[in-house]
Amino acid sequence: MDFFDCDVSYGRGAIALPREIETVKDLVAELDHSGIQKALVWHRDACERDFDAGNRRLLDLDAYTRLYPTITFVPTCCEEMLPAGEFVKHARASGVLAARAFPTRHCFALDPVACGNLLELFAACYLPVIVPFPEVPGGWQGVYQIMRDFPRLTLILTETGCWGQDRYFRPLMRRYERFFITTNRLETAGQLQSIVNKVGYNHIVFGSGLPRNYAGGYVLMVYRAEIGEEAREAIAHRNLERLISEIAW
Amino acid sequence: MDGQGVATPCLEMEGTMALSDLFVNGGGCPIIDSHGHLGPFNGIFMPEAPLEKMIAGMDRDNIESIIISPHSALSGDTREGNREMLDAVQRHPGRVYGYCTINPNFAQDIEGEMNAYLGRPGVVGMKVHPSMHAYPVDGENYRPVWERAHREKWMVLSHTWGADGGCGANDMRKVAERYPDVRLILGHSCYGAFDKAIRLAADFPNVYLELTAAYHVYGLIEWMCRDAGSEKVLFGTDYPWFDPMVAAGCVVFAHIETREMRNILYNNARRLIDEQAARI
Repeated sequence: MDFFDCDVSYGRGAIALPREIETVKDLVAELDHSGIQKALVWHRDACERDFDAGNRRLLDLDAYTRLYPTITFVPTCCEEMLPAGEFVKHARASGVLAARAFPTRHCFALDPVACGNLLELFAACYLPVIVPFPEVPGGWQGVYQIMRDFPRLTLILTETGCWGQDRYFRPLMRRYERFFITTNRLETAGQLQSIVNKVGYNHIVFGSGLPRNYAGGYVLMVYRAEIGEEAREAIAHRNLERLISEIAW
Repeated sequence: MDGQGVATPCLEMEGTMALSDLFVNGGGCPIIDSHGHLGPFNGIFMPEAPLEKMIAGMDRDNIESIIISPHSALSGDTREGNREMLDAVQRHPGRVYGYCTINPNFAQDIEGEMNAYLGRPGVVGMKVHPSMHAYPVDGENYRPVWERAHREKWMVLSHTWGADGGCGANDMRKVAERYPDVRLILGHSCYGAFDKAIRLAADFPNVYLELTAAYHVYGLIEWMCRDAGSEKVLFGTDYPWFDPMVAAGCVVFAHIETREMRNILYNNARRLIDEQAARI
């Protein structure tokens, strides 16, 4: 079975990890070891150092046809980035398949006032926006507000927590067609099966969080969950492939 | 064993296949979960919380045995929880083992609870949770627990987190120094202070690292095996909290030898349980 991972990163930061993935070559080796064929990639610098420095690092990916860059954004208000329209054109020209945001770390509000120009454009061209849940200001109330403000936005929420937070995210899955969570820390026993049975499998995409997490843990979870093969394939790769195929620049 | 779904041990299936391949293909090897619970818990949607669902999940995931402390013993009336523990142990002998939970906030109960449960078939040790019970692990009310566990060589699973705060690595070191014969299991391996936990397990022959919640940290399992030895690492998942296959996946995809994976998944806990049974 193929796996398409929406959440892997590489690069050395200031804080050492127990096992580092410093280079794209290291990353490819670990993806192979874990049985993952394709990935949406970001560089640690994009979160921990500076969004633009991280984005520039993604030129490293050019030699690898199985790795796809994701571009990190901040609001355009300080003119640190290109204007919204130009930014989207740049993303398209760079082969970007998703945008990524770290609002808490980068000190901004993911709302219409600060980011409306960008998020409306992302929504219009179906470019997925990937945000770690711990980075969302206001926690789950913040997630609810983002979806109220941008109901057509393709939001992929990662790191929703290992402690069955279904009471928060299942209503969003039922209400918003383009709200997604990833497998990264979605690890309450029986949770994946329960979501598939009660809500369906269309709102879950595979994301490992490598190198914060062992990717193999989530690979094995998907293989061994008591769900049908159609659901298994959808979660492992097809849902993310579908989202990518819908991007309309 | 009363389950129908437990796979054939991998000793018979293994050829040249990696253990990870065996697990991916629906097999694997027997597992013992040394950090389990039972029943619902506030704030968390937990689909496999009831005992019979846990047994079904264990069958599904090749979990031969689990050692539990019910949630009711941790967040409710501990006496009620310990009765629930014994009931589960007696319903599923060999599948479910129990920890007698000790609540230091009711010091008057501690001696009676230890006398009521330690020595009963299937009760293999004690569980303390200094965080939930808001009482430091080296506090006076825990003293009878540590003294008895030291004297009789009981396993004690303690929730541990960080370096300090009542159940951190520095707190646990005091216990290990004072009571070296306790089979001291560091639940969660002092999450966030892994260097200190690993050092503790390396320094004391009867201190063990336990993987619940910590298993996901990329590179940690290799680190534990390298600096403390795979013989000092126990598999655990807080089941029914966490999916045992996520944790098993982290072990079998770690960059360690198959022998080390087997120690973690099964051999170490088997040895501790068998040694405990032999002492009773």
